[in-house]
Amino acid sequence: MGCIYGIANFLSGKYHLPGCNFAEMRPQVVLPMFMGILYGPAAGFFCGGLGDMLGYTIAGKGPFFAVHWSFANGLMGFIPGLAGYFRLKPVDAIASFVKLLILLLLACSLPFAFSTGVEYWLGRMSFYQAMFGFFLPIFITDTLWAFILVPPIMQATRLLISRIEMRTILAVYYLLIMTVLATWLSSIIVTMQDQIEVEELYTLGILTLVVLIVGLAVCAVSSKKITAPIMNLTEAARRVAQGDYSHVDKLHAISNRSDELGTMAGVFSDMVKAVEKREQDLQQQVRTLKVTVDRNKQNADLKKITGSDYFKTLKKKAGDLRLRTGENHD
Amino acid sequence: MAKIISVHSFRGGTGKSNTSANLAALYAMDGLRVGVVDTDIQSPGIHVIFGLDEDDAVYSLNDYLWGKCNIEQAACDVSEVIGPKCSGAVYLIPSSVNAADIARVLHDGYDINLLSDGFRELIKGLNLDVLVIDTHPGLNEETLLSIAISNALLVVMRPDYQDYQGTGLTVEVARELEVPQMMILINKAPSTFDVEQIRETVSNTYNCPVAAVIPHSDDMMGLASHDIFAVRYPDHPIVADLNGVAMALNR
Repeated sequence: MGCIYGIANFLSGKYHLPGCNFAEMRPQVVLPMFMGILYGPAAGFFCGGLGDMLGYTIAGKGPFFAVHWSFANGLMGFIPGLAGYFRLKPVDAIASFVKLLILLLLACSLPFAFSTGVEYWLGRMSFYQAMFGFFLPIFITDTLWAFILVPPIMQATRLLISRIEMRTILAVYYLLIMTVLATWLSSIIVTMQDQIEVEELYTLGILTLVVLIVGLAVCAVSSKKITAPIMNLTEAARRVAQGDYSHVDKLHAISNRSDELGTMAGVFSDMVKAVEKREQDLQQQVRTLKVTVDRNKQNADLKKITGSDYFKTLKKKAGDLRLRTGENHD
Repeated sequence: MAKIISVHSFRGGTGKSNTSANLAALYAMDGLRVGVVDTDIQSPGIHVIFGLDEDDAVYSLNDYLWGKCNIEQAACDVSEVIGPKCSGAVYLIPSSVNAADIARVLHDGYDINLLSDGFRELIKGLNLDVLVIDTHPGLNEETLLSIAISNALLVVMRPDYQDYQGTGLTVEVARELEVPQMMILINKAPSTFDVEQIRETVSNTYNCPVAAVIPHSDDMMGLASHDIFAVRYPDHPIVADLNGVAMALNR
């Protein structure tokens, strides 16, 4: 993976972003991130760091051409690698999906804040150049690539569990990402045609990211509103299965909703109440045993048996038989 | 005097044979010499509970009834099944499981008086203290005879609608025959039942004392009639109940 990352870095080195001759379009940034998610922070770090050094080597600059940048690339794999520690493997709820995106956001910002900071501190570039020539282009494009590519890869490798809650947010998520991507690419093209300034492009980029994040937050909250009642209903059903009918009272908040879920919760509550009553009735019935004997039929049957000659003889002999049979000594 | 105890149920599937086997085992553990006769010639079963194979028994009750042997020859000593706790002895007189034998009894019949003679010879010959008769369900002639010669009758029923009418009839018939002691055992009662309520209802309905209300037990079902419950689970509450029944019947 590190090798692929290095080679991809070398290849993509030819396509620079507008306004900076160092940062490029690099979809391969997701490789170290995903290695980190799969195999932990160390794997992510080596994939990113060594891959970056390999890229320099292939380009003929030597592995230690820019150690702080290689370190930053390593960190970019290291940070998503922490996913395991935050129990994000697999991602099965909106909360953990949001946490994963935050990790990706950090992975695309902190390392490059560090490396551009070093450049600025070494006096190799001005603050303006560090900000608009390096940090922002890298941060914005890498974040977008990470946001676009990591979730589908995780879905393909079954690290995203397709619960309804996840399905809802993913649907909106991809739509949002596509929109943002379209905006961003068109802005780049516009910039390349020199119609707007580079600074404006990156302000636009930041704005796009903010829109994306706010959109996601709204989406997370509304998805939760759809799925939370379903979870509550499931829990209530599970309790009923265990014989606890009281939990259903907590569904009032849901059954008061005017949508389909509200109807469902209402119907469910009614059903549970009916089942509970039936069970109680049944228990009551079983506990008090009623023995019914048809005396007329019994007398008729009795007469049939006692009326036979065999029975009459037997009855006469019975006492004697008992006495004689029971003798166990002569 | 030996005590003759008939265990009867009007319908099958009440656990009659299991009850007979457990009573016999409990008596043997109490130091008594016990005989168990399977008079359920049409559908024999109690030999399974005592672990008796078809081949183990040389003669069966059928052979005795057809004059092929005397009754003592048909008695198998199954005391071993009870284990070290057996301070008495258990002799089992099985019915033949051979289909042809069963068919022949159904077709030709036999002299019923032989049955009571056989019981008498058995008690004398093996010097028995207790003879447990596992009867055939229903009220046919051999069952009536078994009831008639018994000192005590235990009627086994389930708390099931299908058992109510027949149990009542059995109790009335036994009363006509002036059986000295009669008790009802309610078997396989679901755990949701109130035991005291069942006891009272049944004893009032039939005007007959209830020996015990035995709850349905998964432990007992688990044995699948391949072992004697009182031997396998001597400390089980059901065994304590059964012991109470055994004592009450042999007072």
